[in-house]
Amino acid sequence: MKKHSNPTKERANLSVDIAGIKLKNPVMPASGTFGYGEEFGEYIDINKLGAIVVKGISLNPHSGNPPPRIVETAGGMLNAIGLENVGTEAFIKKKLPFLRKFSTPLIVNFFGKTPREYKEVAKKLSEQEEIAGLEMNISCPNVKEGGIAFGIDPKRTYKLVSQVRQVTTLPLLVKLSPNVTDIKAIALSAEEAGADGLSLINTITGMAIDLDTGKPKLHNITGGLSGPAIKPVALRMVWEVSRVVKVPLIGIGGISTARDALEFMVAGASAIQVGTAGFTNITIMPEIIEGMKDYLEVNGIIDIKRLVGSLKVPDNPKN
Amino acid sequence: MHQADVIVLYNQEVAHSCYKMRFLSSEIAESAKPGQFIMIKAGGEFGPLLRRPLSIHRILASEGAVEILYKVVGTGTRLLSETKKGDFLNLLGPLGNGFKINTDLHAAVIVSGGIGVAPLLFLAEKISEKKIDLLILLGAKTKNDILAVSELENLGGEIKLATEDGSLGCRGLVSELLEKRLGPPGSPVSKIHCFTCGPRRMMARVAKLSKQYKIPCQVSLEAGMACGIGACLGCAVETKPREWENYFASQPHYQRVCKDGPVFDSDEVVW
Ligand SMILES: Cc1cc2nc3c(=O)[nH]c(=O)nc-3n(C[C@H](O)[C@H](O)[C@H](O)COP(=O)(O)OP(=O)(O)OC[C@H]3O[C@@H](n4cnc5c(N)ncnc54)[C@H](O)[C@@H]3O)c2cc1C
Ligand SMILES: Cc1cc2nc3c(=O)[nH]c(=O)nc-3n(C[C@H](O)[C@H](O)[C@H](O)COP(=O)(O)O)c2cc1C
Ligand code: FES
Repeated sequence: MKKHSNPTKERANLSVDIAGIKLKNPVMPASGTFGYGEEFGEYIDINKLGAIVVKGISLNPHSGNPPPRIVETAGGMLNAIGLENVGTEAFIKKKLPFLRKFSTPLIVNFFGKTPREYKEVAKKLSEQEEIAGLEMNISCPNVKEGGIAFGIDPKRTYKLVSQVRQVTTLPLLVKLSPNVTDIKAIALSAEEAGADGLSLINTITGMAIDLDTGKPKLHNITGGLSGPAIKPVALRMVWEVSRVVKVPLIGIGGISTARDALEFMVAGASAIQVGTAGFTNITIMPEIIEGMKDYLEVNGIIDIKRLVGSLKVPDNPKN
Repeated sequence: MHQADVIVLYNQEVAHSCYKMRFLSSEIAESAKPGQFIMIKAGGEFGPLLRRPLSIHRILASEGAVEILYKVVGTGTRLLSETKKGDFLNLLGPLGNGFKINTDLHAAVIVSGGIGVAPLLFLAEKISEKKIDLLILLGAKTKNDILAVSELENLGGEIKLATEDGSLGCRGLVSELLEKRLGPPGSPVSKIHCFTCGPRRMMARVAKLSKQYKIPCQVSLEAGMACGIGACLGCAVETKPREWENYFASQPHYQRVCKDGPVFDSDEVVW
């Protein structure tokens, strides 16, 4: 049941701008949890989303890790998919035609094994008209060669992001790893190197053991934790980063309700992504969008941008 | 395919720690194919985070009702077993590809191991409706783990039982029943198709036999799942690459159990 507290009033304005990408609302899927859009497209109206974000693409196809690849843990799940993807060429030929049908801006997540691969993928994707922005994954903890070395070190982050910056004029979002001692330092490096926005957080590295067999539950031994369990960590990181950078942030991590999403915006995110929650409720994103509108209207907030970074703490300059 | 709250009509223990549940869903009753499954949110918002995949056991078309048969193995299935008549359950389905019943099929053998019978009753019903010759081989650890016998008997086909401890039917593995039935290797096997579901090792044996005797065999596989719709790539199973899929060259080749399966040709699977 939808509740409209004041149906005669104009609906709240949910539109936001992320690094020049205009979104109808701040809600988009998290990379890797939405495939290439086709599967969810059978259940939800993709045109209602703020943006589409697809599974991370690399230059060449990757077949991913052997199973088991996922395991449920308290309030979350671990995944070690191993960055399975069809590769840049097949993505452009086979997946883009479907994604092109929507008015929703398309953000393509990508990664590489080497700086050269990062650049090549970014270049090839930038030639595609229908892509609105790139999200660069410097943080996947699953594949040994898959980027961890870049995202945990400010210097290497700076170097890599500057190199990619040179080959694309598309809005460039850098997706940060939470598996670092000081995420602010990495965020600043990415910003300095030319990132137009930052997405955070990626999954937190963890593991699960089957006591009875004495074996790890994932074939890869370790995996990335996602879901409600990581929300407090993600909120803290968004808040910390929002205090030191000027570029817009996309908040990610355990978002399952409209209230969760709005909390991330209060902490400093201009938009949010929903991942694991979509596995439990396939229509979660449209529901979050409606729920955000309702909340804003009930509380007399006409524009969602007013909420961004509005956390009430004594030293917040935004208040 | 849809996501909905459905009302539970019935949920009862039918054998030790095995339950049969019936719920109302005319959408699923009208559209489901044998071998498809649903994803259930067990225990509502207080249950585990992820949905649990369960096969469609039987459709009661006239009532718009659907049955599942499940074994309690962990938190999700335990919470499901505590569901009562009149409760609501949230589910997503029907999902997956289902078994293919070729139009020229005139003889079929169904090989079931333990709780693997869950998707096979629905299949057996569909095969019988088509007046296809049907042999059912049911295996389990003990007689207490043999499920759905009376429903299968009602279909009128031939049924053979095997238990590992010999407490019912032949003593031994259900794959041995199949081997006996097929006769010595090289003996002529007329156009028969094999359908199987059960523990992986049992299915691997059935797959091997089918290959030896050159009969087509469809297997229903299991994997841990998160989304159930093909979006997360969590439910991978290793399969042999098809020729046109040469881009994975030196890498192993995976398919999604939820979307490309759960039913695969046994030849495709890397056992
Ligand atoms: C397509 C499909 C159809 C199925 N149909 C049936 C059915 O009709 N009846 C039935 O009794 N069972 C069926 N299963 C197995 C059933 O899904 C698991 O037994 C159930 O998810 C266990 O949940 P739990 O919370 O009780 O156990 P837990 O052990 O607490 O589950 C923990 C995690 O492990 C996973 N898991 C547990 N057991 C298995 C397993 N055997 N295979 C793969 N993943 C597993 C769960 O999905 C969950 O994410 C099916 C599985 C699949 C993939
Ligand atoms: C199954 C799965 C696959 C993922 N694949 C990717 C990926 O390819 N690239 C990426 O940057 N993040 C990937 N992620 C991380 C998510 O985009 C997101 O950052 C993380 O799951 C936290 O959000 P959540 O708690 O809402 O799921 C993946 C997450 C999951 C659960
Ligand atoms: S469970 Fe997500 S792809 Fe199969």
